[in-house]
Amino acid sequence: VIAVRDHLDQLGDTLPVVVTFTDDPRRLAAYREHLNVGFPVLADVDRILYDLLGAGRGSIRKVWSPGTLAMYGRLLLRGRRLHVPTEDTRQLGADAIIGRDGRLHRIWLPESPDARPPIESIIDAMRDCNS
Amino acid sequence: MTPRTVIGEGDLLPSVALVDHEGNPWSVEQHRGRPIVLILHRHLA
Repeated sequence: VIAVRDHLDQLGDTLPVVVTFTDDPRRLAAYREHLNVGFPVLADVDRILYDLLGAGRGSIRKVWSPGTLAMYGRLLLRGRRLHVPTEDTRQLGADAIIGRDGRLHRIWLPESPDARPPIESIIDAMRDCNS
Repeated sequence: MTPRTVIGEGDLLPSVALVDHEGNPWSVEQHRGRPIVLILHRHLA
């Protein structure tokens, strides 16, 4: 999210959207403020979009892999305050690009929480989508 | 329980009703004509 937020100038008229599956949509506004983003933060409570895009749940071993622990370690070193999650920690995320025609142009499905695509890959895919 | 269909690249994204941070309904269809980057989060920790 932060990488997208910090590269908006390279994304043209693309609309970034953060999707969560929180069952308490009232938390979204505070979370949006926490992320310091100007784009929408959404709730997909029933995980319909997650399912449609194939964003599954990871095994405990993959979700709490050394890479994941290192990722949280880096966040702590940067001063990020972490909270004990009350939601499904095994739900993996995904990144996707929807084209102007409403079709899925590109999807990244990470096998572990720390395996998100670099921002350069997203920017390249956006350019390809617009060409 | 019947597994839901997973779409692939090139497929039209079906209509999905979402809720935004202001409590308003939000859907991809409302923004047709504009590319969208969906960042599916894991949780709000």
